[in-house]
Amino acid sequence: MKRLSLVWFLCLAAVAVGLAFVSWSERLSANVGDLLPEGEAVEGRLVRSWVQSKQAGIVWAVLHAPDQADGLWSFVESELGEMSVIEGVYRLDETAWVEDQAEFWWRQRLGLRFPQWWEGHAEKDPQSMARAAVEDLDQFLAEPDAFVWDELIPGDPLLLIPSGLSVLQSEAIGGTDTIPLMLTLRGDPLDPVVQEALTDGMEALRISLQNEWAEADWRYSGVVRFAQANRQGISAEVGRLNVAIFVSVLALMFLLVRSLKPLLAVAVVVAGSVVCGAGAVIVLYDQIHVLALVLGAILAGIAADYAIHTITGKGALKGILFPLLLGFASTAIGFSLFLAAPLPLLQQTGVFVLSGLAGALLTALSVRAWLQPADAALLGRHLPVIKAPRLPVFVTVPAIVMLVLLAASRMEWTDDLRMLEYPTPELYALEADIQAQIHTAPDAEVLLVTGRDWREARERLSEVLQRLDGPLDSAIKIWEWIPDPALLGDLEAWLEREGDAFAEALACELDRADFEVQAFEPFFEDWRQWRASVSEPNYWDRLVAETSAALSGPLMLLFSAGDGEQPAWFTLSVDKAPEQLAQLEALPGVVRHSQLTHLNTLFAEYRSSLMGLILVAAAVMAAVLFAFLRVREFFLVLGVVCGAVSISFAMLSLWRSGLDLFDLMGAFLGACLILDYSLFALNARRHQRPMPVSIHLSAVTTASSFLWLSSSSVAAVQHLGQTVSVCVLVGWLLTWIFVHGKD
Amino acid sequence: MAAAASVALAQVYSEVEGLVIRVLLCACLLVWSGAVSLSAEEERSPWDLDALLQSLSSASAVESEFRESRHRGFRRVPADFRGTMRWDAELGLSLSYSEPRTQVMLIRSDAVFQSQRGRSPRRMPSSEESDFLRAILLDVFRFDRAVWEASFDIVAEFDEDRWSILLNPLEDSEVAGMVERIEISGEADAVRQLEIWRDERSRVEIEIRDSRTVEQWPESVLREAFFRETEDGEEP
Repeated sequence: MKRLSLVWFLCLAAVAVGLAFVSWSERLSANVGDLLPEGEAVEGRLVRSWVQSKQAGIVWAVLHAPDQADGLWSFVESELGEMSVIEGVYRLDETAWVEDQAEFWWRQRLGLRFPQWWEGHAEKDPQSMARAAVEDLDQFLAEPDAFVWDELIPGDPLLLIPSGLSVLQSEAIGGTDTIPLMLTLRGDPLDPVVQEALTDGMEALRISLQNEWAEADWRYSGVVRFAQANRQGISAEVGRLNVAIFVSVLALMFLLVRSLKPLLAVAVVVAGSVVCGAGAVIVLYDQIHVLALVLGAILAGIAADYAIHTITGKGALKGILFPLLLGFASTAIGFSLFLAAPLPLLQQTGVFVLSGLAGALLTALSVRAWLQPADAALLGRHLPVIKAPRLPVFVTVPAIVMLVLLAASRMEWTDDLRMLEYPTPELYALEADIQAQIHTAPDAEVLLVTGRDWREARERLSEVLQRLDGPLDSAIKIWEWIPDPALLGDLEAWLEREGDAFAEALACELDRADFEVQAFEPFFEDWRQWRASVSEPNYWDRLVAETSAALSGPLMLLFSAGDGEQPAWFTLSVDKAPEQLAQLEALPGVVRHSQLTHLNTLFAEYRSSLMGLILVAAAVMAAVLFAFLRVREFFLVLGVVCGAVSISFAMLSLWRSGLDLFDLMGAFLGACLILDYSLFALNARRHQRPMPVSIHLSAVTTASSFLWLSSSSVAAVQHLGQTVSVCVLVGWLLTWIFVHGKD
Repeated sequence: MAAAASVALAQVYSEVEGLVIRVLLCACLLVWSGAVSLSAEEERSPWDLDALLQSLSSASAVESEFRESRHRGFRRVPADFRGTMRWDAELGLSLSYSEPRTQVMLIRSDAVFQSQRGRSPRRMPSSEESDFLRAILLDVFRFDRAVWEASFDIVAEFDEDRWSILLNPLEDSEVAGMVERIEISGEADAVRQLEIWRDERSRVEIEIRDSRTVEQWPESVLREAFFRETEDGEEP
């Protein structure tokens, strides 16, 4: 036995050394997007792709520059240009970024804009269309600010570019003293190195600005900032909680047992189980979510439990082997069902706990081979002597049932993805402030309209636009630059039918309105060329592909090409009533981008599927127990486990509003531990021994560990901690009263 | 006196033969008569260029009514506009159009802003035309000889209280490609007309009247014409 255990310890040491060489910063992820399943429905993939490929690489910033102090913008531009992580700088209060692509827009103005222009004229008679065009031009030139387009008018009398640029330029972005900016990042925005470089650069810029221009103000926000705060917050919390839990478990053990042997056993078994758990997830997953390790802290409670049972069970090993193996088997079966869970986080937690459990069991047995088990009575001599309270069943059970029924009437489930985030209210406030200055309607919902390819996405977009009544909030209506393929088909037929009638009519109308027709020759030349090209095969597809490739800056957020599995999509911002949004979302291929609503729905689905898994796991565990226990014992254990979980849920429901996925996980863990206690208590009762000290020690240490978790800032971890600690304490009490103490 | 001298020189000319001598004498005649003419006008006018510019630039805030005619190369008839023009050395040049549309344009050194009634001001797209506005109009309205001389060749004419200034862009100046010439005319210390010639077919004529110096802009003007935030933080 000693030789085998030595081999096991050597294996553990080898794995521990291997883990020391793992680059944890690269392998650990704090990105909420990684919590979503890989093989998820297209909407979820799309949202994740949008967040990771588009949004994450963007930083929104606002420079407040009172009186446009001389040289201020040049300074900021130069400083941003020197930051290695910044790739592009786009001022949103001007259209320089659109004009950078001026040549493209100008070259394609007829292909991209004329179909919309043509569609806007109800009468498709060339003469009346030409007359309307000249009237529009006349009106346009009567605008005081029309002078900025004077140079372009001879090439664009239909005003395709001025009207088109006005939809590319956001309405009223920035005040006269405020410069809103969009910055694109170079490198992976979720890479801590990129995040640190950005933070350092921005801080240096802020300090330099304040030194030179006291009233200048520089603020920035973006996914990258949230990701960094989330990562730093959770990492700090993991460290704090781990230390607190470890110290509290050791302190409690020392206080209650005052012996080094159980302390040593617990330390070795917990370390062994963590090494096994971490080793398994590192081998099986490229990216491990840091929350999987936080939730995996539940392992420490069970590992300590095994250590205590093995080190306090003096006598033959087989005396404790039955409850130990039965407890392990039922818990392992339960957690193995996590592997089939739809959430990657739950799968990783399942792997971590399952392999950790196996490691804890093997390490506990190995420790027993080297450390002589202590006498339970000797170990328990420092425990306060408290007799099991004797409560009449006919009073206790109805009271419990009443409590459960009362709580059931208040019990409701909540599903909010934000509970997985490290709370950063100041960043949310900053983000809201910046978005209010960048977008005309920051509360507007962004819809993604998707399709397998461009044509499908554009056709679906047309359908969405038809359903919307009233003006759209969208500041930038990119689809006005992408003609509907069906519309282009109609236009082709019209051009075929009418020949040069429109150009001739336009020339006549221009002349009649005192325009110099000769000056408009650049337009007529381009018109002739475009007419020849529009009937070429695949004209629409080439046009859209070229446009997609030409977009940069804020425009690149507006639509994306489909490549393989990634669908094509357009975005539009809609400030509509919720019921109308719901109707739009019901259309095929429409996804609401403000992910919370959508992801929370997914989250609710995950909770119900986890609930199903847990019920199946409970049934399997019950079947295992039924096979090994007497009928009366079986119902006693089942009653204690179910009663403890029900009472815990009842208490939590009365205490705070809403139970969630993590309460469910906590309850499952609690049930596994209570089952363990019941089996050991039952074993002791069979042999007419007192309630095992190990149960008291395990309950106290586990409850204290999870009480620490309930101090977490992350709501999910907090709820898990509360549920497990309440469950364990209630289960311990019920086990004591009904399973053991009854006799 | 100048006329008598010219007659005398003409007599000499009739007696002189030879093309070179005739050309030289002609040039001398023109230069001399021009110089005499200008000095005669300066004698008659209380102004010289420096005094005029000093007077024009002394007011840091001026409000005037204006009428603008835009002659475009691609159209045979001009487009006419009317409104109120406000110049402030610190805040820029504000053009509040009232006809045919209501619109305010604020020209500052960093950008041109535009606002239609009831809407927030927005920065106008940077273009050749808006860059031209900023570069030319702000420089012109500074009435700073040094600034002008950096970009233009200056020709000034005075006739009693009336005066005119012709600004021809220097060949190597930034404004050379933007404008062909600028003509400013006025009376005493008031500018009456400004003509900006882009080329022979495109020009802007601005007639200015009822100019008055302003000590302090009312809050409503600051808000609506210069897009300044008021004390209660409201923006137009």
